[in-house]
Amino acid sequence: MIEQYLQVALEFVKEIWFQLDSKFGLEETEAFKFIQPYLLQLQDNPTYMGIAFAALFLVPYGLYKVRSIARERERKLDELMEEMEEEEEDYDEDDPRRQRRPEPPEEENTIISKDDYEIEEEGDKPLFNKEDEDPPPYMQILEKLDEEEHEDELHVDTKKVMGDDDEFELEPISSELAEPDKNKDLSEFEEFEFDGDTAETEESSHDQAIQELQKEGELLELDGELSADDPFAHYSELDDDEQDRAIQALQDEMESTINKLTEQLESTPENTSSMKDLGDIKIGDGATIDDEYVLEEETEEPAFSEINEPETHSLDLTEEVEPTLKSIEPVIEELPPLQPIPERDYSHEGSSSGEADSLINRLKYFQENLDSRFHHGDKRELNPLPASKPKDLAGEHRFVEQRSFPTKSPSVPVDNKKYMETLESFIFLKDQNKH
Amino acid sequence: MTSQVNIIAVGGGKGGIGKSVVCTNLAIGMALSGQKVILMDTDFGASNLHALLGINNPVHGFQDFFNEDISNKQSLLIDTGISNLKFVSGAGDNPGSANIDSDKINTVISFIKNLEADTILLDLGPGTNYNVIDFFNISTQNVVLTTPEMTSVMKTFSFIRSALFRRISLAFQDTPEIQKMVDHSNPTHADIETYTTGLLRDRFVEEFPDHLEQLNNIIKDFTPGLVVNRVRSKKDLMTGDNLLKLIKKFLEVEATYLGYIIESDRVRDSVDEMIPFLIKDPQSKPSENLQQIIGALTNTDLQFVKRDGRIFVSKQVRLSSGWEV
Repeated sequence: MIEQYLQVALEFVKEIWFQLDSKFGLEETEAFKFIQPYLLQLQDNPTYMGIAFAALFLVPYGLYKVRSIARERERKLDELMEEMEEEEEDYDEDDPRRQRRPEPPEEENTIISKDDYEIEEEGDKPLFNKEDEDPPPYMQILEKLDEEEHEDELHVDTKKVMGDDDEFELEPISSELAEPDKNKDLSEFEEFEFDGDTAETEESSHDQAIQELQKEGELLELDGELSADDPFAHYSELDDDEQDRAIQALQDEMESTINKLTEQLESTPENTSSMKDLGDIKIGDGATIDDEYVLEEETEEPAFSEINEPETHSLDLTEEVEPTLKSIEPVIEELPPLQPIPERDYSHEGSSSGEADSLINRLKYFQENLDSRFHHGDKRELNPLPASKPKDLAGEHRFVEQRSFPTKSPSVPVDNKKYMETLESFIFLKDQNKH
Repeated sequence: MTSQVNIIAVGGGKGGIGKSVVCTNLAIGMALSGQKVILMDTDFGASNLHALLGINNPVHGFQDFFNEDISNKQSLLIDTGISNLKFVSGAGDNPGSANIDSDKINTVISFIKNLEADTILLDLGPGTNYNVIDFFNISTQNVVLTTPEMTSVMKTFSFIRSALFRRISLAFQDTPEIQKMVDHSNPTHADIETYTTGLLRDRFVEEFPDHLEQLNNIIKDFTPGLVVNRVRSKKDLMTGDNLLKLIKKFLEVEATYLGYIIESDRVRDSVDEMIPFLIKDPQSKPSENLQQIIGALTNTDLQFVKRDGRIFVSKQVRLSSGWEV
């Protein structure tokens, strides 16, 4: 079928060539004489012909594709620019966002996620509320607090935050920003906002503040992971002292969280050991790891046999090993008991994946414990094994022996003659006369 | 007994090279082309042809060959559901069945020779023991199967040599000195220096010049057909040529290259589905390869086409004779 198509195509090309040649006398031109040997070569070799055809179609197509991609990108850029312009038209004249990104490059805009942009807007809005609009709740609080002049009360009470989720959600920035002394820029804007007469006198500081805010805005844009309620979301809006205080507040918060977790850990009953909590994990035949563990704790003999059951499977131990195992049971009884896993806190492992990870870690620990106990018995050593670490095979001469093997082999030769010789060498003995 | 019956044995030294699959599909192809075909499983001890044909719990099996109560041995033929194709199962074979004595083998051979059909196809077991080779040697046309791997080629060479030497051994049963040269089953009483036909002929020239012509005729008459299975490249095809050269060089046997079958998942799938690939997809490449092999064996040009679940066969008889492909 393909041959037929090729035949038809060739005849078609020939016909075109014949017509062109008869009209323009192409065969007599220097150019044709120059490429004629190459064309003949192409005609003789189907591979070359295929490559030539492919090049003939693929190169223009590739060029077209590149051009179209570039055009598409240009179009998208234009669209984005238009969007940006429209957006800026919506802002007030004195809105620094108009000046913040006078002509932002395309890439920067694409990097900013929607969430980040929203966060930024939320952070900016209170700064430029008009007088006729109702100020947001936190501005009301700000004003109230200004009147009362209770600076100390503006600090975030971390214990309170930790104790109440709702307040934790509110913890934010607003409280940090609300403190007038802590944010000079903010107070300056407020003054500018409410007292228009002082605007001119403070124009230079205003511009400076705008520039700083622009830089901060850029920082915010780059930091996509900051959430609205993160104290560091407006970290850059604070001066050095404020930053230090914010960091201090966070550290305090962390300490209090850690203390709380520690308290919870301590208050957890001791019988909720790591092994017991694995009880939900099925290990086959309706049994659980709990069962295994209980058996091991209560009755040493069956526990050992049960523990070693999987080991015997995996190591392929025969019945001959069992007497040996029984003989080392007394030794195993003297071994240190399985230790509970130190790190553990189910109350704070809200997500199922975290819990699963914790369980997996515990399982690994359990397995290591089992292994170490087994090897204790094997080696008849009473001192506990160190934590599992990568084994050096060369170092463990007791279990590993080096074996020799040929590194080279007479592979099947490609050459027919050599293949026959190899074949004969495999069929006949060395001293057999083949003829 | 019908003297016209054509017995085709499909053998090969190595196990797992596809003897049973190829033999089954050869039988089906010949049956579909109009011949009355009987397919027989002689891989005693490990029979599995009934599984390839999708026949559960065959009504007759291995033990029935030796059952005196079954007077009409034709009743052992099982219907396969395929036109013109009957099947003799070796199912029900127990461990050790492959080691039945020569009397039992002769019973089975007698049974085979008394079957009424145009063609009987024998699926042989692996190896080169006499229970296998004797079935191979009763055939009028032999098909030796190999795969491109060197181990398979080696075993196929050994298989062909064993078959040839067994023929010579049976032809000179009355001459113990010749038996020593060709039957190495007892190494302590064997002349193991005659492991090629060249060496054997030299000995015949020296010691049995009267039998030389007979020896030459046996060698000349032995013309196995070679099929290379699971071919993946042109290089794999060359293994068939190399094997033919090897046979020619050391055994002076003119073997014929019947064809090849390419490696294909369709074949494997057909085994899993218990539907022979020639029926499942007669227009697939392996099926086309098989049709060429059948054409070479039967001196016809066959073409199978499947339309709407039906298989149509186009058959043209060649005017030439022999196995020229």
